[in-house]
Amino acid sequence: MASEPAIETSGLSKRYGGTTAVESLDLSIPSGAVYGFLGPNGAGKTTTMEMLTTLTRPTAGTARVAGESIDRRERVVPAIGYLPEEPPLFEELTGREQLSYIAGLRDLPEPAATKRIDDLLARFDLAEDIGKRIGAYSRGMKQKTGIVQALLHEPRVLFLDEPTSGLDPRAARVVRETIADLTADEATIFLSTHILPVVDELADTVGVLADGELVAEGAPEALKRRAESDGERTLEDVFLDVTGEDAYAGAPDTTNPENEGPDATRERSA
Amino acid sequence: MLYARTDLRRKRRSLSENTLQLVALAVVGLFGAVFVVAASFGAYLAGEALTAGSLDAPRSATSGARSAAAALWLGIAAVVALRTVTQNATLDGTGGLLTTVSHRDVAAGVALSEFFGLLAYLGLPAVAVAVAFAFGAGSAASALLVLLAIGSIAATGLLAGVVVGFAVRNLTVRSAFVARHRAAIWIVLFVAYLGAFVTGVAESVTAPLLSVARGLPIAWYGDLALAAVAGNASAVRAGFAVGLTVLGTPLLVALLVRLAGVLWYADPVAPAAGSGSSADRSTVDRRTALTGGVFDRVAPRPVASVAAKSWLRATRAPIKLVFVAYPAFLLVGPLSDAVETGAVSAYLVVLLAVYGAWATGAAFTLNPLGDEGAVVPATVLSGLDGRQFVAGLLLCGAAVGAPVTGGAVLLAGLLSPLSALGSALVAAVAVALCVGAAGLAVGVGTAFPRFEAARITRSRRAVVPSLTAFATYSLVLLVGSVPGLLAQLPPVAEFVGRIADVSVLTVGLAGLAATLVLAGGAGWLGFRYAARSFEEYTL
Repeated sequence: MASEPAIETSGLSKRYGGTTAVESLDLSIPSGAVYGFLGPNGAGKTTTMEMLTTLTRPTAGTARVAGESIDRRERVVPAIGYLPEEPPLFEELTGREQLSYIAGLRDLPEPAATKRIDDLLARFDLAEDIGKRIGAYSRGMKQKTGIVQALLHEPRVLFLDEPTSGLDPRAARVVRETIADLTADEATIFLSTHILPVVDELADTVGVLADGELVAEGAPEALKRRAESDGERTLEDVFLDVTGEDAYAGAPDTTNPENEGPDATRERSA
Repeated sequence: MLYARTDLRRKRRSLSENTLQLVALAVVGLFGAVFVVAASFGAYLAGEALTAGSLDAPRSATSGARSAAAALWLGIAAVVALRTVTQNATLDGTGGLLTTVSHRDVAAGVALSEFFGLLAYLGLPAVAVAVAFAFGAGSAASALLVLLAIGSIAATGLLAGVVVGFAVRNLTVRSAFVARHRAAIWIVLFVAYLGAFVTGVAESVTAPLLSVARGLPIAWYGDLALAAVAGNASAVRAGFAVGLTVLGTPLLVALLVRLAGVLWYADPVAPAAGSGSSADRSTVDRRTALTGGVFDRVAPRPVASVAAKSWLRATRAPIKLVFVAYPAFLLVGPLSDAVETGAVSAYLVVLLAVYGAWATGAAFTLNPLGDEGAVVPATVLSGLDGRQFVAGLLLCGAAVGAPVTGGAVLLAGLLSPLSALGSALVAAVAVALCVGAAGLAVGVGTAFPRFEAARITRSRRAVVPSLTAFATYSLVLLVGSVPGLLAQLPPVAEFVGRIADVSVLTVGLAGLAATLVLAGGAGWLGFRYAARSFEEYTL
């Protein structure tokens, strides 16, 4: 892995009037890592992703993505891909037209762009339906087209908001395999999802956001191990613990120096 | 009944939330009240004259009643058919509704809701006219018979309209040809509708239609209305009119239920770019390649991509551009005069130039960010710079609008009293205005964007420009186009020439220069503002 973090934030905050969406977020995600970003609805996950992708300006703090400050959109965007929760597609276009349109906007050279599209379509089993209008697509097909669109330019950092939402098991597996392949190529994945087994399987590090604050962070196994004081625990148990009102009942002492190290986890008061 | 009640409540709430519609309704209500008072007075006098036998030709009273009955029936059926095609036949939440109640109940609810809606508009005037007529005729029974006739016309006319509407909707979902060419068919119908008024054909179409309708059973409702007072009103026909309602209503309801079931449970045929068959795919690919190819030849790839995308979206969902056609009604009067007199006025040439430029700007560029919808993040993060994005939109609008407007204005100018040079100048102004209007529109649309969809029809929502953008854009464009276009009108040019002691040609050229400066300046400012806003855009 490269020494410079792919994503690095310091005191990143976003407030809307009197409401705090994200509060002093400090992250350091190395290149080639999969970062699972968890949190209940309204925790500030999407706002965080929008700040990191330059779509929203932070109220305070700084962030660098792919080595570039998020204040410099023109330098950040060539390196990132983003799949929002609602796939950004024009319903009036066919799938191929949509992908060609995005390739055109990015001025990707031909015929390499067409080959890249065809390869991704084959991979996501979309080739047969790509001539149909997107308005006629199922939720899963739209999601797959959105993923292909986000991958077109081979981004170094990929932000995925609920990428497996609406996908059938086969397609969800393709997404998981694709994420694994991308990390093998040193791409960094920032993955926000409610489907915890996906995070459990793929993420190198998990961060849990609640009320805009990072309340827990660490490797999935380390998080689970630390919460196993009252029996075997799943990532779901950990999630419910750290985001619930009794988040820290029975939780291990976070000041214990034994927690420091490669598998170290951190917890903060929500 | 529950469906109808819920549907009416939704319509009422939707109406109460739309201030503009409320104001329009109030204005219509005001004029409507005047009309009702006049109609009631007329009905009173007619009733009085009929009873006193003072009408010159009593036979014509019955004939008039028959004509009125047929016209009302046809009018209701036509309006309801159109409403059914565009709104009522498409349910909100079809799946949930049809798995909760039978399609028979829903179909009946659709008709009932429409009936009560019609009653809200027609009920009070009908009662007023019936009572006034009865007073004039001195016959209480007349009031009941007139009301019975109007109620029967409303019921059967409405049901016939709903049935026709459902039949047409079935055609649109079952015929591949209609599904594929739906947009073109709507455009042809709209142009034909507009053309009928412009050329004065409308009257020559409706007159024979009414003449035929007078001989149909629907005209018998006229006999029913006058049965108590007019001696020459046929009692047999009046009886048949009642029979027509009694037998026709259940028959039409049965037909409606059948057609509704067929429609709502149908597997619709897909439009061209939707069937996925290899033939369709190749057709679509060819069209797409052609569109992209045209723009690729004149602009860098990112700009051409934006232009091609905008063009494809517009051609596949033209309903989003329907607002551009609304001001075309302003052309109806002058066009109609031109057809009738066989002479094109200079005023019409100027009007064509202004409308063409206005439409060019409004069609593709008056809501640049809002029109992107959910795709905004992908567009903003694509690396496209602001100038490329805006240039793509401008290219799409101007590539179509400028040549069409320029050509139409030149042709009209040559047919008008304007000289050849004057015509060429107005055409040049029109082309310049098109480009300037597109630049102006993109700036105004960026300053006053609209992201939420507006209801175009009940079943179709689309993101259209904001009212503020409309008003600002129209006003600035109009002000900018005034000098260049008015200076080409001979009376204006001569007047200004006399005052300024210069030739008419000089006035024309000066006006042209002024408009070019104004439109060009506004367009350039709009372009720059929109490009910068795109680059700095955040959610």
